[in-house]
Parts: sequence; C-alpha cells; structure tokens
Amino acid sequence: MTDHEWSRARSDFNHGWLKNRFVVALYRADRIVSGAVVDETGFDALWALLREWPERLRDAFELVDWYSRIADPSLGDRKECSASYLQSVTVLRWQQAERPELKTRVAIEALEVLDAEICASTHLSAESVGRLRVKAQSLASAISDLTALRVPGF
Amino acid sequence: MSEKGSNLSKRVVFDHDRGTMFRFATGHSFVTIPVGQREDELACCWLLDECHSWTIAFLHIDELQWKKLVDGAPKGKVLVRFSTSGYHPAELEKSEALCLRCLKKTTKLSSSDIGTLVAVLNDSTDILRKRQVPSGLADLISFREPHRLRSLETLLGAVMAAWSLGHKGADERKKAKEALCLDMTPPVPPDGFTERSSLWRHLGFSQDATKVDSYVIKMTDELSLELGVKDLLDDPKLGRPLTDLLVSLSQKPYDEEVDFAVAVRSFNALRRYLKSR
Repeated sequence: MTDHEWSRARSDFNHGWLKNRFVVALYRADRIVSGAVVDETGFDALWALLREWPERLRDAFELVDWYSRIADPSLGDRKECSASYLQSVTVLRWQQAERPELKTRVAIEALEVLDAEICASTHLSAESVGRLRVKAQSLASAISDLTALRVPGF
Repeated sequence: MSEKGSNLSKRVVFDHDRGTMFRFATGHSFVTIPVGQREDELACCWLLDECHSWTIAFLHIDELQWKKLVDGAPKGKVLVRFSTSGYHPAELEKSEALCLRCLKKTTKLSSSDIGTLVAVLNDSTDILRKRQVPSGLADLISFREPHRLRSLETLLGAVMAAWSLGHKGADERKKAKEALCLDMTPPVPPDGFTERSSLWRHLGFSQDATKVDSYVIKMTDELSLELGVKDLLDDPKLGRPLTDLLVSLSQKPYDEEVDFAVAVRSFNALRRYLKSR
C-alpha cells in the first residue's frame, strides 16, 4: 500500500464509515432514546452498522498496522546510497516529530475499547448509546492523528 | 423522522446567478440570504452582520466581496465559494473561518455534490483545516500542495544531518545539529552527498552542468508558484533565503558544497514556513 492509498483507506474508514455513518447513527439513536425525536426505524441503520463492525475492525487494524511499520526504528538505518540516505534522515525526523509508536498505541487501545463496548451492546439504552458515541469519537480522533510519512521514492 | 428543534437556518446560500448551485442548495434546506440576486455587496454585509444566524454559507459571489468575507468571517464559520468555471486547487485561505473554493463548475454540480459537501462540512472541518480532504470530497475540494518547498526542506534536512556529523568545524557541526533538531544520531552520509551536483540530482535535475541556469529558472518559477507570488523575492519570509540558496547552488564548481550559512538559513526558514501552514 502506498502512502496515498493508505490515506484514502484511512479516510474511507474514519470519515466515510466511522464519523459520517456510525457516529451520525449514534447521534440519531441518542435523540430517539432521549425522546427528542420520534423515529420508528431510527435504530435500523445503527444495527446494520453494528453488524458491519467485525469487517470494519479488520480494516482499521490493517490501517494501524501499516502505519506502525513506519514506526520501526530500523527504517532509519538504510544508507547504501544517497537516495536512501535522504530517506533515512527523513524517517528519523518524522519519527521524532510524529511519535508513531505512541500514536499506534493510542489507536490500538481506542479500537479495542470500542470493540469491547460494541460486543457488550446487546441492547440499546441511553447509557450504552452514549458510551458507544464517546468511544467511537475517541477512535476517530486517534485515527485522525495518524499522519502518513511522505518521502519521494519511499 | 420528525424533529422537535431545527438547525436549518444555520445554512445559507447566495448565488448572483440563481443557477444550479442555488437550486440544489435550497433543495438541501439552505436559506436564501435576504438580498437581491445581483447584490453581492449586500450579501457580504449581511453575512458579516448576521454571523449569529448562520454556520455554513454557499456563495457564488464576486472576488472583492469574497476577500472581505475571508478577512472578516469569524471562527466557526464555513464558507464555500462556487464559480461558473470552477477553481483550481489553491492554498487554504488565511482566515479565522474555514474558506473553501469548489473545484467543480456550477453547471456540472449535482444535488448529491451539495449533499456530500454538507455532510462533510457538518462534521469534518478539523481535517479540512489540516488541508486533508476526505476521499468523498476529492473532486470538489482540493488544496495546492507545496511539493517543491517540501522536497527542498527534506533535502536540506539531510544536508544538515550530514553536516552535523561531517568534516566541518565543531562550530558548524553544532549549528547544523541545532538546525536539524534531531535527538537521534543520523546515519553517516555517502561520499559527495552534500555536493551541489548531488543536490541538483536529488531535486530531480540531471547532472548536466551546462543546464544549471535553466534549473535555477525552473526552480524559481516553481517555488514562486507554490508561494503564490509573481517574483520569488516578493515573498517576505522565503524570498531572500531561497533566492540566495539558488544562487549558491548555481555556482561552480558543482563538485563542491553549497554555502553553509545560506543553506542553514534556508532550511530554518523553510521549516518554519511549512510548520506554520
């Protein structure tokens, strides 16, 4: 996967699915359970998205896994020719600025926390919808924080 | 679904042509700004005076009024400008508000384009502020990326790394290390990495010494374009250091290094510029 493909995949998951569908469905469910709106089919979309979760979870782990591979310090060791020297220094600078090992940890933790909450959500109450929303938004924030390394020819 | 409260008045539209964009926006519950069709200036005044009554504005408006809005619209507002000929990817406008230009011509817009924009703008302004575009918006919004400035900064970073270890005096090694701000020890560079000919090669030019003048012209044009200035020296922050760098790069002999002080100054200026974007 190139950095461009990774950015696209991240956007598809984080914006296309998590923020624009899942979180939106949770907000809608929140308003239904609180009585702010009346919508007899309002939970259908949320249940459908919850059924998609195992597949989305795999996508998300793949995204984080690709990103974490750039965090490998050995990537900064290549120095066979001047082009890879340029890449090595750029990787080291990016690793220092981005702190990818820390961001990877945060993203994986957010994924696991949301996964556990979804697995525990056998019925939807005001409390469970609220917890899901907070955890989904934490995950969205953690995934947004991952920034691909862009080095020409890398 | 029935709603007990409404947020619809938060989206407003002005289109001095009352064309496709206007039709689709009103179809997506945008409220028309209460001015005449051709009253761009009044529309601008209304937007600035009535900030409390809108959050997202879709505008087909003239350049002068757009500039006033970019200068005056407060934080939290999102403005999207449309045009009959569409816009090219550009730098993100320097504004408190998020000010975007739609790439697509108004005549080519569809109702779903407007719907997609609304969905993203309701939710993802933070990512757009970072100049990242959700994939669903790629044919509607795009930002110009300063690829040449970035590649120059990347290259000079590697030059600093080489100098921080290399054959220069202790004072220069220290200065290069300070400029680089790298806690880890960089790898040892290959021979000749910091020579002018090597730097030209890394910038994508061949090592043909007879063509260096044309490389300088091309680089100057590309850097000016990315900085949005006609003449590179017109840019107050980067104009002078980058011009000095190109002069130093163009000097013979090409198997010698670029000027140390000039390179450090350019690197620092580039890094600050790219960080502040």
